[in-house]
Amino acid sequence: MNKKKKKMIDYGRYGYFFIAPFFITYLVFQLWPLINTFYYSTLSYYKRNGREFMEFAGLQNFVNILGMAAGERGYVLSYLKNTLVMWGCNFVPQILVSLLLAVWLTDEKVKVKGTGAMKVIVYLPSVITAASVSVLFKSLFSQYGPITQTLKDWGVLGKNFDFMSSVAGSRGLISTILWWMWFGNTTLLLISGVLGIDPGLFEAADIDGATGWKKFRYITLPLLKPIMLYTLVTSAIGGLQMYDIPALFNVPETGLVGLPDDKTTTMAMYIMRLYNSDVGKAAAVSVVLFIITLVVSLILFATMSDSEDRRMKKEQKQRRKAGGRS
Amino acid sequence: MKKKMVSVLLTASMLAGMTLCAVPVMAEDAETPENEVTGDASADDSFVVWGWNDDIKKILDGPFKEAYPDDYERIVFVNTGGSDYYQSKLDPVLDDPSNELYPDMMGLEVDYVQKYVNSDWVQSVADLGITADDYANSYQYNLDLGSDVDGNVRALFWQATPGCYAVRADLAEKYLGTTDPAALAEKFKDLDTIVATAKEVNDASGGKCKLFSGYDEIKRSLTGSRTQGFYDENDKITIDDNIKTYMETAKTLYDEDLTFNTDQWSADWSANMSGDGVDSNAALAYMGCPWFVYWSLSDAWKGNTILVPTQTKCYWGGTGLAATTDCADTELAAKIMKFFTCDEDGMVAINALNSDYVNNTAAVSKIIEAGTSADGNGYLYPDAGQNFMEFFLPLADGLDASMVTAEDQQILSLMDTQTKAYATGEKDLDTALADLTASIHDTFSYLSAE
Amino acid sequence: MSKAATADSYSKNMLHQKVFRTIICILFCIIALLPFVLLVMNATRDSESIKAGVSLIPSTHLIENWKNLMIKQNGMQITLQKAIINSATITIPGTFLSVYFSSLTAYGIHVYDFKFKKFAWAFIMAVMMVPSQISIIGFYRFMLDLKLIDTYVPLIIPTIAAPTVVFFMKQYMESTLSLEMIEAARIDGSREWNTFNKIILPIMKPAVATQAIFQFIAQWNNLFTPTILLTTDSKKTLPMFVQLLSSNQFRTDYGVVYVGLFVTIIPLVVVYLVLSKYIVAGVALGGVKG
Repeated sequence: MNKKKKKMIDYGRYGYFFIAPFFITYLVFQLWPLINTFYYSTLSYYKRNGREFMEFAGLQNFVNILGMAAGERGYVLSYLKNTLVMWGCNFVPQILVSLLLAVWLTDEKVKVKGTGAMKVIVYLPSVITAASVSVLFKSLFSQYGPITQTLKDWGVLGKNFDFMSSVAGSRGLISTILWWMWFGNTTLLLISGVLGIDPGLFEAADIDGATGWKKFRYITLPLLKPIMLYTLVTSAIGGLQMYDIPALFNVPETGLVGLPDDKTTTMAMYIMRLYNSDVGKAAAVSVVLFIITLVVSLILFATMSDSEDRRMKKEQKQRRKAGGRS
Repeated sequence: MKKKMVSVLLTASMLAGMTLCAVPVMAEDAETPENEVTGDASADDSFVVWGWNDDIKKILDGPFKEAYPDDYERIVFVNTGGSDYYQSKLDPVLDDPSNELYPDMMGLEVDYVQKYVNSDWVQSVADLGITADDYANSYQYNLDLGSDVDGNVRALFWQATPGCYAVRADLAEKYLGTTDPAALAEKFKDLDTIVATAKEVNDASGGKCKLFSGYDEIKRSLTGSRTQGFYDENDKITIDDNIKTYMETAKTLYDEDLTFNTDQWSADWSANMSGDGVDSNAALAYMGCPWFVYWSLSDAWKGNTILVPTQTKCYWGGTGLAATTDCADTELAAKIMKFFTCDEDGMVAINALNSDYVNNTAAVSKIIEAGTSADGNGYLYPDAGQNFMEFFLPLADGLDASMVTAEDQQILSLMDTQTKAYATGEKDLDTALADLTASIHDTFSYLSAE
Repeated sequence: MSKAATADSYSKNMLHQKVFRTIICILFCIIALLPFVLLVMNATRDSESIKAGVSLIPSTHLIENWKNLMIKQNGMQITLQKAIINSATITIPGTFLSVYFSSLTAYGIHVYDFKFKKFAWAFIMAVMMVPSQISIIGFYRFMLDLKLIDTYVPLIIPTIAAPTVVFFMKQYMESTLSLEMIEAARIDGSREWNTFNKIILPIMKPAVATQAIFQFIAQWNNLFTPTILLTTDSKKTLPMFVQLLSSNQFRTDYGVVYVGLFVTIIPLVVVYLVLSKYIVAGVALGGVKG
């Protein structure tokens, strides 16, 4: 923190005025609803034939949604699994491709032409409305959609294959959409990470005759770790809230069941399905989601504050390593 | 280089956008919009009626207007477009009587009419001044559907909906070699025969024509003839044997590639209605009922439809009319309801409009005597010599809908999910049934799985 | 091998590398663009030929598809044009509020000394990662009590509190804002509020612009919250209209669906291409995903 700041006791009260709108709004529209959500999660609060039924239920909602009582399935766990599988299958290729592109597009030695235009192009998918993207892919890959048809004509797919009734097909497509939308964003983030590395490190390695791979392995990769971690955590938090794409992709008109076989339903879709008919259960699902998000965020904070301290030490260490081994 | 490309792209997309917007848009009324509010809801004496399609509206615009032109002027019709999300649009408004569009009266589909008649949202018809004498000619199953758990009638129906299979005559001629209704009925006499017929059609057409567009064409014949609801009087979930039969038959049809595996009402399902069965995919038969024939069949079926009874008697769909608790004008509500569902002449007029099979035995006799609507609005295949109303007359008798629950629409959708999972080989039958029970309990926590 | 030959083969190798890498990079660019191309092409084709398979050759049915879309939506309570206006009605004030009040909050914490300053900053950092979807149940019930359901108020007002924007603004201020300048303004008799509006905000322009773009995009694309809060068809936003496009109401015509999607993405593509320079730079700077 900057210690040069002068004391301005007279003006201190303006600080309160200036931050007041933010805090009032946050308390009213975020914190209070959050507290209420916790409260609702302890109620058995549902509708039947348009009438509301409400009574205190303690932790029963949690016991039920986690499948810890007889006759309860623990759907929240299966939807968490769906969410993580679809997110994971998008994230691994995403980080790999982004890493490759980031390194290539910043390589001073082997300059790729048109990097500016390329950055603009790969980022484009992530600004487009996810809803539109989802419907677009749905139309292209539906049972009798153009891509499905063409793949069948080429003999890539069997005559009766249908993405929409195949678990792997539907999940795979949702992951593909996520990947397609976000790999450009991650590429740009990693590029800024690579550009942030002290060029002196690469120069030193060059003098020592290090190969491209070695420079990547011993300088770029370790120094990108913090930003990759950051990407991982923000992407995971975003992924846990996944809604737009699966909610518009393969669901029946009557409700938010991620077809086929409920295998593409996410936590957010579950909340949306219940928010009006079973308030207590929906609130409990929200609380579970909150706790998971909290844990993931804490990991981020731990690693972020950690990495700041270590960065200086590490940089020096890497310098030695990269130079010494070659 | 980059700038150039960007500006080219930009200009191109802008140009495209501008051309699109510049296209003169004519308010063509060739095709009726599916979703709209007609009338002025802000008028003091407006009377708001809700429905999810224009079925009710057409009757209001036609015979009702003729009978009561002054009352007609006051009616505002809200068409939500699509039964699947009707409830989610209707419920918030029902909870808010101050809303300008709060319905005074609404249409309620069989799959969820029980939810509304058992709610605080609708009035009993007795409170509107409609007596048992008024609806004495109604089919009993429709009265059951419109009654709450205590037996008070709260919704009345203007149509009876006995199920049938609608067969396309030209395709039947080509691939089954007959257009004789009796011979065709033989081909649909039970589920095993239906599967055999499906094979016959498939083999004869080389797969370009299938008996059904999707296996779910047999769904309504089985769910509409259940003897047991989805839960019993203790709110314990029960699965009727028909559900099991449906899933098993669906799997057979899927495994042997006997349908195009479409979902009912989907785009591909519609497309198969108009195919020629040689170059383009076509389905030979669709699950049908009186309203389905005049409301859903494509032009390829005009003068080309033969009706065949389903293998077991069943009903499919139907719309109840109910007046809301805060209905602004119960007199008009009663008038509309009587015209639609009790009044013999009114119901004959409805039949004249769309050839629907009305929920009034006396009116049906009258129509048959007069010989109107014999060709089912022009859909029936003349050479088969069928009479639309006479065909349905025996099928409408003795229908039973006592197993219908308030949650049927959503539960049937959950059943579709499990049926597909079983048919495509994701899981075995027992797992599918267990998963169905579990998902019903998850969706409606007051229904118990154990 | 002579030194020259090594150098020669080295540069040849470099050239090969360069060609190889360029091809792969272009390939990924093609992947990024291909769905858009298919979308545009299909928007120009009729339903039958769309079903026949993928084609990169445009056809002549664009105008016909557009007319059909207009007919289909004609008389519905929500049209594509109305949905765009609705989205703009929510997003433009929302963007303004979030950017203005976030700058104000960041400024308040950055410039003034007060008792809860540290706590306030720690609080903002802490809630930055908490997605608003999580409190939606409480939010929905609360809005129900306040009778604000089916209005735009709960979609616009809460944007005043955008922790990520505050975070970004504060970081930017730390690197660009000198307190001497504020002192100078005070000596000139400028009131605190004026200093912020007249002097600070103009200085913050680049950061404000970047955050405004990202806020605009994020709010424009939001589907979850409007779906819960808006019930009347005529109030629906663009992403909700897209949901309608995918429903059975448009089932009969594929061309209509594609032309509808095409129009839904045009505003964003245009905004993006015009501002791509700032956006691409902003991603690297802010690095916070919605």
